[in-house]
Amino acid sequence: MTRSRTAAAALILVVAAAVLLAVRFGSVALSTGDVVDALRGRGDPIKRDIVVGLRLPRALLGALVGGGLALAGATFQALLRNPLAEPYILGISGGAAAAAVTVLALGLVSAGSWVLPAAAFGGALLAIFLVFRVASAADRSFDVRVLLLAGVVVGAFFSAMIALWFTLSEASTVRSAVLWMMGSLAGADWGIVVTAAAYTLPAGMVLVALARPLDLLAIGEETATYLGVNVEQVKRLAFGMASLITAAGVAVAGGIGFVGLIVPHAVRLVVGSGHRALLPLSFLAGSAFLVLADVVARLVIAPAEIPIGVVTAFTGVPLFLVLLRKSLR
Amino acid sequence: MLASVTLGACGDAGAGRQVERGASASQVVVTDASGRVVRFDRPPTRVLSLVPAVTQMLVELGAGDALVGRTNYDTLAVVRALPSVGGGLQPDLERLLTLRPELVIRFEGAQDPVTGAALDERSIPHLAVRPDRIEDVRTIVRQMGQVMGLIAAADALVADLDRQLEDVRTRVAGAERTRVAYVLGGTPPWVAGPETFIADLLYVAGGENVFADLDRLYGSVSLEELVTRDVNLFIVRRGTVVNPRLRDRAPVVEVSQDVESPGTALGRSALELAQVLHPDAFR
Repeated sequence: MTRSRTAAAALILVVAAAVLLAVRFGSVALSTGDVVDALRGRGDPIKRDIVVGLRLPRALLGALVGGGLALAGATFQALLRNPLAEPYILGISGGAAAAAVTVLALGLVSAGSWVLPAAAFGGALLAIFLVFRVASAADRSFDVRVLLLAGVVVGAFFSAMIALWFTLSEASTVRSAVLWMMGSLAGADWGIVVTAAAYTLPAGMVLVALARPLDLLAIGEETATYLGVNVEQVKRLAFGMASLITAAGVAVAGGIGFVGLIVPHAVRLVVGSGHRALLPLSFLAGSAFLVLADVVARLVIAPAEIPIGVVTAFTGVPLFLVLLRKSLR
Repeated sequence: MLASVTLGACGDAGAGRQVERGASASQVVVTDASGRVVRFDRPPTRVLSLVPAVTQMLVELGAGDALVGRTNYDTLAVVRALPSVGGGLQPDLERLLTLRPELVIRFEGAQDPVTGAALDERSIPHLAVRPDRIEDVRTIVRQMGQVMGLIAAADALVADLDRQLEDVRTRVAGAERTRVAYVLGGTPPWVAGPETFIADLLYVAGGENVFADLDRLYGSVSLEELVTRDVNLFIVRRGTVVNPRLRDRAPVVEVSQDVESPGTALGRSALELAQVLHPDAFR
C-alpha cells in the first residue's frame, strides 16, 4: 500500500503540473506574469480570455476525459478478464460516431453547438443498450464472452452505417465526420467541462467503490460468488458506470484512442493489479497523460494542431515499452 | 457610394468615423450564408478571413489593409507576412483572439462547429460564406463591398468578372457543347455535380456536365457509370490520380488548381476551361 500511496502522491503532483503547463503554454506566447494575472482576473482582457476561457477549460477537460478513459479501460479489463479490453470495446465509440455522422449528414448540426455532443452521447448510450440487450437475451447470466461478441457485432453494424453515410453525403460532411472521429479537445469550454465532470466524477467514484468485488471478479466469477459477491449486480453496475464515463468522453472529445488501453497496463506494472490502487491511479495517470499529450498536440505545429490520438500513440508506445522491459527484468 | 467615400476619409482615424457616420443611417445589414443577420455600424478595420477565396476578394477590393491575419492555406504574397491562425476550419482560437478581429469571415456548415460558437460567446462579429456557385461568389463580393464600405469597388469587381465570363461565352458561342465530367479523384471517383461553380464554369466554357443528374454538390460515382456515360473529355486538377480506365474512354485533361478556387479567379478559370474544351475557338 505504501508503494501505491507514494505513486498516488506523485501522480497528483504530475496532474497538477500538467494542468499548470497546459495553462502556461499555448500557441500565443504569454509570460508567467500574464498567466498569473489572468488567473487572478486581472490584466489584459484578451490574455485573460486565452488563459481562463480557452486554456484552463481545455486542460480540465483533458484531465476528465483522459482520467475517465483510463478508469473505464481498467474496469473493462477487469470485467472482461481480457488485457486487450479498452473503453470502446463494446462498440461505444462506433455508436457515438454513427450518431454524430447522422446529424452531420442530415444537416442538423446548424441548430447549435450542443447538437453534435448530444447526438454522440445518445449514440453511445444506444450502443450500450443494444450490447447489453443482446448479452442478456442470449444468456441470462450476462456472460462476458457474449458481451464481448455483442460489442464487436454492434460496433461492426455502426461502422457499416458510417460507411453508408459517407457514400451518400457531401464531401464536407465526410470531412467533418473524420475530423470529429479523430478526437480533439478543441471544443472545450466551461459548460462542456461541467457536463463532462457531472458524468465522469460520480460514475468514477462508484467504480472505485467497487474495487474489492472487482478484485474478486478478476479471479473468477465462481470464486467471487463463493466469497459473497453479488456477481450479476456488480457486473451490471460496473459495466454501466464505465460505459457512461466512456460515452461522456466520446461525446465531448470524440474517439481518443490508446489512453484507455495502455494507461491501466502501465499503472498495473507499477502498483500491481489490486483495484483499490489501480482504479484511482489509472484515473490520475490518464489525466496527466492526456493533458500533456494535448499540450504537445497544440504546440508542435502551432497554430495548426496535430490530432491528439497521434500524440497519445507516439509518446505512449515508447513509454509503455520501457515500463514493460523494466517489469520483465 | 457614401460609405466608400467615408472609408477613404477615415482610413487612419478610427475615432472620427463613428461621429461622421450616424448610428442607424449608415448601418449596414447583411444576411450571411447561415441565415444570420449581421449589422455593422461602420466598416470593420480589423478583419480575419478564414476563407482564402474571400481573402483574395478583400485584397482585390482594396481592403487588404484591414486584414490582420491569414490561414496556412493563403498563397497571396501580400498576405503571407500576416500571422497565421492555422487552418481555415477550426483555427487556433488563442491566436485568433490575439489578433482582436472586428470581423471574422468563416466557412458556413458543420465542418467547424467550434469557431462560430466561440466567436458568439465573445461577441466577435462573424460572417459565414458558402461559395458553392458563381452566383454565390458575386453575392459574397457585393456583401464584402457593403460591409467594408467599398460598394463601388465591389460593383466594378463583379462587372469585371461578368465581362470575363461573357468574353468566354462569346468566344465559344455556336460551337457544339463538349460533354465533360470534372473528376476530383478518389476510388470510386468523385465528380462535380450540377449545383457547383465548377459546373457553372464548364457551361460558360461551352461544356456540358454529364453528371448534371448528381443529387449532391460533389459525390462519388461508380467507375462503371463513369465509363459508360457519353463523355468527350475528363477534366482533372493538375496532379490528380485517376483510374487508368478513364483514359481508355476519353482523354483526361489537366487544368490548373485555380479552377477549384471559388473566387475572383473564376474569369481566368472559365477561359482556361474554354481553351481546353474548344481549342479551335482560340486558334
